[in-house]
This record gives sequence, C-alpha cells and structure tokens, in this order.
Amino acid sequence: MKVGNLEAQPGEHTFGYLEVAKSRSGLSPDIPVHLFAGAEPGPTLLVQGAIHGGEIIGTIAILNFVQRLDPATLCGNVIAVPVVNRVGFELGERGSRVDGKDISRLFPGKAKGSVSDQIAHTYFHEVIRQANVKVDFHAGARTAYERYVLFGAEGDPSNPTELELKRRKLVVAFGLDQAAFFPPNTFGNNTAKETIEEAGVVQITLELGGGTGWVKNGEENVAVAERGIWNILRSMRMVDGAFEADGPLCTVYNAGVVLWKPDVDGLFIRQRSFGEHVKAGEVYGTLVDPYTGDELAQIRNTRDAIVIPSGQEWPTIGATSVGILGAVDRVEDRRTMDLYVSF
Amino acid sequence: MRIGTLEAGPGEKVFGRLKATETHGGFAVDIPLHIVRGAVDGPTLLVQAGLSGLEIEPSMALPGLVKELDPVELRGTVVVVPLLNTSGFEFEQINAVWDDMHLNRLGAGRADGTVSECLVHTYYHQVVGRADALLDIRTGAQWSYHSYAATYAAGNAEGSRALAAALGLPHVLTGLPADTTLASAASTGGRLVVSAWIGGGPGLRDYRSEDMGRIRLAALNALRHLGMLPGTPEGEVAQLLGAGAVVGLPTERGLTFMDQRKRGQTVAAGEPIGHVRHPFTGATVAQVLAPKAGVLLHAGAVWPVVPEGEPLAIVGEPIEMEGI
Repeated sequence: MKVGNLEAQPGEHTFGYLEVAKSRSGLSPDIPVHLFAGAEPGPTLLVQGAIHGGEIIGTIAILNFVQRLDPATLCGNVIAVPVVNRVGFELGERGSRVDGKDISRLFPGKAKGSVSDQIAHTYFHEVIRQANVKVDFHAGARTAYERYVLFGAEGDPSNPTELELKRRKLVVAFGLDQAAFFPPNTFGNNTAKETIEEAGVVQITLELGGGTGWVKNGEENVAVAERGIWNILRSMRMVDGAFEADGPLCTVYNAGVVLWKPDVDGLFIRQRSFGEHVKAGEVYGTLVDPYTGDELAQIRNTRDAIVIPSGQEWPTIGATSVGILGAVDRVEDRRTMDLYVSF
Repeated sequence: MRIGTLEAGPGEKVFGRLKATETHGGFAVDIPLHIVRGAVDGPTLLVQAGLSGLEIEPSMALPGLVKELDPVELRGTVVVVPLLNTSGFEFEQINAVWDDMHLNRLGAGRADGTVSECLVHTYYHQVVGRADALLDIRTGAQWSYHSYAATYAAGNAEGSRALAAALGLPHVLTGLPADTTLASAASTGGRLVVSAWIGGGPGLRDYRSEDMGRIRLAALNALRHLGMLPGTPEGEVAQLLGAGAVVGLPTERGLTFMDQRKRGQTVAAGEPIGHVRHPFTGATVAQVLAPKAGVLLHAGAVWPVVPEGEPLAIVGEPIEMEGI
C-alpha cells in the first residue's frame, strides 16, 4: 500500500511522516503515519487521533495498538495516525495556531490554501479516501470528560443507506455502552464530514475520556479506546477474535438538547450527572461569582432528556455548549445484532 | 481592620476590591478580597489563592468558607483572597494578561514596575504585610494534581512547620530554599507561611468534593491552630519530609506517564517513577527516575502532556521533629 510518500509491502509495518505542508518559517507539520499492510487482502481501516491537538486519549490508545498489531495476521490494511494536528498537539490546543483553523472542518482541503488547508487536502486525498472505515478519536482535552460514540444523523432512519447500515453496526461493535447522534445542523453544517461520506468512507467518532477524569479514569479510557479499535477490526473481519464490550447493550441517543452558556459569566458548576434524567425547566448547572460565591445564573434544561456523557467540567468556559442531553432513540443488543460488515 | 477603602469593624464581614493600579488603557487592576473580623481581637490570617489564572479551584471553595465563618465566634481577623490574578482568570492563562508576567514570580513586587509588579507590590504591602500568618493555597491547574503542604527554611520556620502540620494534609515538605514566589518573600520575619497544594484539573471530575473539602478543612484547621476558632485541627496526620528533590522533565520529550500508584510511597534512589513515550511511535524513550531515596509526595504533573518547567514529582526524606 502507498500513502503519499510512504509505502508498505504486504506483511509489513512501516512508520514515517506524510509530507503535507510547510509554514512560512519552515515548520513542517508532517503527519506521523503507521502503515500496516496485511499479509492477506481486505478492507482498509483508518484510525486517527488528535485532529484536535489537545485530545490525546485516542493518541495513547493508537500508540498501544500499533505496538501489538502484527501485519502477518492482518487481512487488509490499517492506517494509524496518532496525531493529525501536530501544531495543536504541541501547544495542547484544538486548532492550529499557524493559521487559526480547525483541520477537521476543512476536508477536502485546498492544495493552494493556508497550511491547514494544505494539510487537509493531502490528508483527505492520500489517507482518508483510501479507507473504507475511519475511526476518529476525540476527547475532552484538559477541561472536559466524555464517553460515547458519535455518528451522523441518518437521512431517513426508516430506509437507511448501505453506508448507514454499516455505520450502525460499527457504532455498536466499538463496544461502548452509549452512542449518540445530533439532529442535522445542531452545530452548523459540517461539510467536511459530508465530503468524507460522499467519498464512501464510513466514519464514526469517539468522544472518549479527557483531562478532568485523568487521575481516576485515564488508564481505563485508554484501554477502552484500544479495545474499540480491535473490535472494529473484528467487525471488518480483518482479525480474528471475539468482541469485547462494556456490556450487551448500547443505548443510542438522539442528542436533541444542547445547553449553552448564558450571557453572564463566572464559574460553571455542573449539577447533574451523566445518565441522569433531567426534566424541562430543571437546573442543569449554575454560574457563580468566583470571588463571592454568589449565584449569577442558572442553566435550565429545555426539554425532558437524559444527560449524555459529554461536556465541560473545568469551571471556566468559553462560547461553547455546557451540556448535551438527549432522548433514547433505540437500544441495540450485541447478543442478537450482526456486528460484521463487508466491503 | 482597614485595607484600602475596605473596613470591617469588630464582628463584621465585608467584601470589596482593593485598587492596586491601572493599565494604560484605563482598566482598573484590583484585588477582590473578603475581611472577616472577629468580635475579639487576635491574630490575622490571610488565605490567598489564584496567583496563577489557571489555579481556580480554591475560588469554588473559599467564598463558601467566608459565608460559613461567624465573626462572633472568631478571634482575630481573616482576610480571604479567592483569586488574585483576575486578568489571567479572565483570559484563561497562567500569567497576568496586562504584561504577561507570572504574579508568583515577582517576590514582593515593585512600586515602580509593570502593572503586575505594581499589583503585587500593593498587595504585599497592604494585605500580606498586615497578616501574622499566610495560608497560600496552590493547585495543579489543568495538568497536575496535589495534596501536600510546604514551608520555607527562612523566617519562622518552626512555627510555619507546625501550622503546615495542622492543615490535615498527608505530607509537609519543609525547609524550601528561598525563591521568587510571594510566599517566599512573605516568609521572612516572624510571619507563619505555608503553601498548601491541593487538587488540580486532572482530578476535578472525580475528586472535586474531596479537594474542595481539603481546601476548606485546611483553612479551618489553620484558624484552629492559631486559636482563632475553638477546637483542634482535624484530618490526616502529616508526615514531615525534609527539603525535597524536584523531578523535572527528562531531556527526551514526548508523552509523560507518571506512576500514580507510587505517590505517597517510599521509593529508592534511581527507582523508575514514570516514563516518557515517543508521541508518534509509542516507544519508551526515557525513564523518569527518583533522584534520591525518600517519599514520593502527592505532587506534580499527571496529564501526559506536561508544560515546560512543570515539576513531575517531589521526593522528600522523612524527618522527625519535636513539638509537631
């Protein structure tokens, strides 16, 4: 297999840097890529981490995974990218300070654009388009904590496309007990994701782990992330072995309630826990004065819903959502669901 | 008790802002503070936090402590500064935004210096200078996690050690050499000075209530120890440790993983206490070793991406002292 300037023969694992761009100072944010060319033919899986530079739980899981994967036992190819956004990773930031852009929103990119545009262009054409399945690891960076599989809303759930049917299986196969999708345009129109799907790539996103839970849950989060990669390989019939999961069920939420920070600012203190049912009008969190402790504002829920494992834990927040809640769309049962996909 | 324009009579609580200086754009640079003056005269304890704009957890606990305190029961005066670096807090950064200076690296500040130096100078002379004891609450910002107290070798070292041991934290690191912190500057003379390192972002999700409780307890224990509140200090019995060896990042950079299971344990000189992995290949590129034998404090960075200059760990030698 060949990815840009990198190449691996059947049965080989190679590591190198995909040449993508150069900044004006000569900085080369070339992307570290592991290629595993399976001894036997099969589909291609892309696993990537840290396209938002501070979200590194998936990065660590990918590093563990690449040390254990043996291409001699693999059917198909794996492209493993521990860090897509090297500038953001260096500075612990979501985007790239080189041009202030979020690479994840730029696909298919521009060959003659800014540095991030160029990165997106090369990465899309050389890496993403080669994949049948893309697993994209996100997390709570230093200031949040999350634990669910995120995927795109289906156009017509009663008549899913072939890609959507495969994605349903992969979402459950990953092994977490919770998954969610946002109704269209919840966070604006993400044309980058649409572009990837139009290229025929099935994509799931992990919102898994984060800095505020690192002391207690860090090792578990990394282990669960790696377990999920192996499960996806099993689902794609690229390796043998039994699926491992949190449990037999995966609850899928329609994440229809997004709570935003009010106009008043202060210290955000969330008062509701993951999985908790919150009625419309009930308090989800408060903002308090950092000097007096006086309550400045209450953030009230807008619709009866359940708190999805997501969101801000650090007490200072920017112009961002502070809570995601949803209704149960369905509960998938791994004991009866066919978790295998074919390409 | 009068600080700037704020005045609290016997048995009163007041909250307000001490004006320190002004920026060239005309923004007031001031210090939010509480004064709780007891009905009966006694010592003055200053509880301060948030010299870094990212050390903000104490601001979730200290205002509640102020509400809890009854001035009628109090002997002496408590001054509480929940978050000193208001501009760093505003813009979510360590340093003050006006001049990009770290408020805790300016000693006692300068009257003719930059905005931050003027701020610290005013604070030091009008607030710190009024206190008999300083409880300096630190936290781990977004990458470190702590639970220990520390005292300097200078000034009233013995009294500071005793105060530190009363806070209810598991370890007290003693005999710190002088440095550029405000606490170090304050430790000269007879004042009691303790830095209590409690909590940090990586534990915020799961240990928030415990850490908030430790901050509250440390302040209450300080008041009890100083005889400003009735009762005796509560909490863990502290192990005293001699001046520690601070472990920094090895030469090889990458993702740093500290062995959290060894925190609070005795380690041998040269024993691995963490390791660094290459961020893209995953290979282990360096071991983090204990620089000497001793007890690994509950201290230091735990998030794998460690800012330059951030300590990874502190190793202290157990010591025994009379009267503690």
